[in-house]
Amino acid sequence: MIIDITAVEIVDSFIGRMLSTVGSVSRLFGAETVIVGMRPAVAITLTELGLTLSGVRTALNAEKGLEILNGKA
Amino acid sequence: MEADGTNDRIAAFLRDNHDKVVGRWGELVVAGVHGRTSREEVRRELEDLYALVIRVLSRADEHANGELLAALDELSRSRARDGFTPGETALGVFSLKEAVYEFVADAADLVPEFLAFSRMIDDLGLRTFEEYSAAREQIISNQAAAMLELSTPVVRLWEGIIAVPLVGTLDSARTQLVMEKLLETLVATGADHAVIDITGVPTVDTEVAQHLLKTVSAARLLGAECTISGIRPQVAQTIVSLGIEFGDITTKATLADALALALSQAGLKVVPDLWNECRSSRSGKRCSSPSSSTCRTTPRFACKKTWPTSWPPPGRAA
Repeated sequence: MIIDITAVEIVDSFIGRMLSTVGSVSRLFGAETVIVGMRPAVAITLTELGLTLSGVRTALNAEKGLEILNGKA
Repeated sequence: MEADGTNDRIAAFLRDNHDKVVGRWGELVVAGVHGRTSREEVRRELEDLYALVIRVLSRADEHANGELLAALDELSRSRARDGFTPGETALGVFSLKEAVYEFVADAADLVPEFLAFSRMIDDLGLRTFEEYSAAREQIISNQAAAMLELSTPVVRLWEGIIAVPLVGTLDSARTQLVMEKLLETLVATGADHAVIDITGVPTVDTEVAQHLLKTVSAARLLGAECTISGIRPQVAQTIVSLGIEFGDITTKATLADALALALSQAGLKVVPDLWNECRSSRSGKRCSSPSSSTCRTTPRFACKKTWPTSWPPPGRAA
């Protein structure tokens, strides 16, 4: 599963936790989650909040996310 | 300024003794700045100021006060830029008092007026001091901004690999700037590997390490892999003795090691250029193209397969 958050400009701790939860829940179903298109500002905010989204893979854009899911990278 | 006639009298005195006072004032100022400005230049500046002081004292027009302050401000700013000390700058104003006093001392009846005049000069002196420090503050903040701008380059090492050579101590403000620039470059170039080179960072304490970890985890959130390179032996010792954990972040001793790692993760490999060594098996001449059917040493990338067995290439052995 690919979650594209290119259009997300502002995040809070709730969204950060939600992304993590979605990742772990989908792993229970045997699906892998890749979050793609995170903006620099969003990444900085999440880091400042101490959320590193461990357990969820990330990629720069949708193409690279697909590559990950296809097992190329 | 006093409303009575005292200022008029001192103004008249200054006007009458123009050459003497300005001459003496000039001498005092030139002596004070140790000859860093020429006598003529000082003289010109003082003539202007002197004329303005007289205009203010005689209350000839209401613009005089503003003009005098503006002229003083300009003088202080140029002194600050030219590297004079605040003392030397203020001395330029205060020595007018001294110059006038030397002449007033002869005319005892002017002494009360001189006190009012002296107060005015003190105010002007303070003004130069304030303007001087304001100009200095401006210079310092400009330099700090320029340094911050200069100190965070993000360079592209290879397709998909970027590097951030850090020089100097990392504080929160700089980390923020480095992080922003790194992330923006990652997005703009689509690079998926970043190398943070800390060769130029003199000491790594817990705070600096914390900043580095933050930068790396932010880059990871974007989907880029980060390597920290340029860890010197002393820095490594400090990191270990402080008990800092870099976790699963890869660290390398040199930027070259980090580049090699990034290249191999990107599926690239640096191989020696065999094309120059490649000779045709029939003529012994240099091959015309890598796909030449007569080529015995398969050149360039395809060479990886045959390279160890075919060394040295035939042309070279001859």
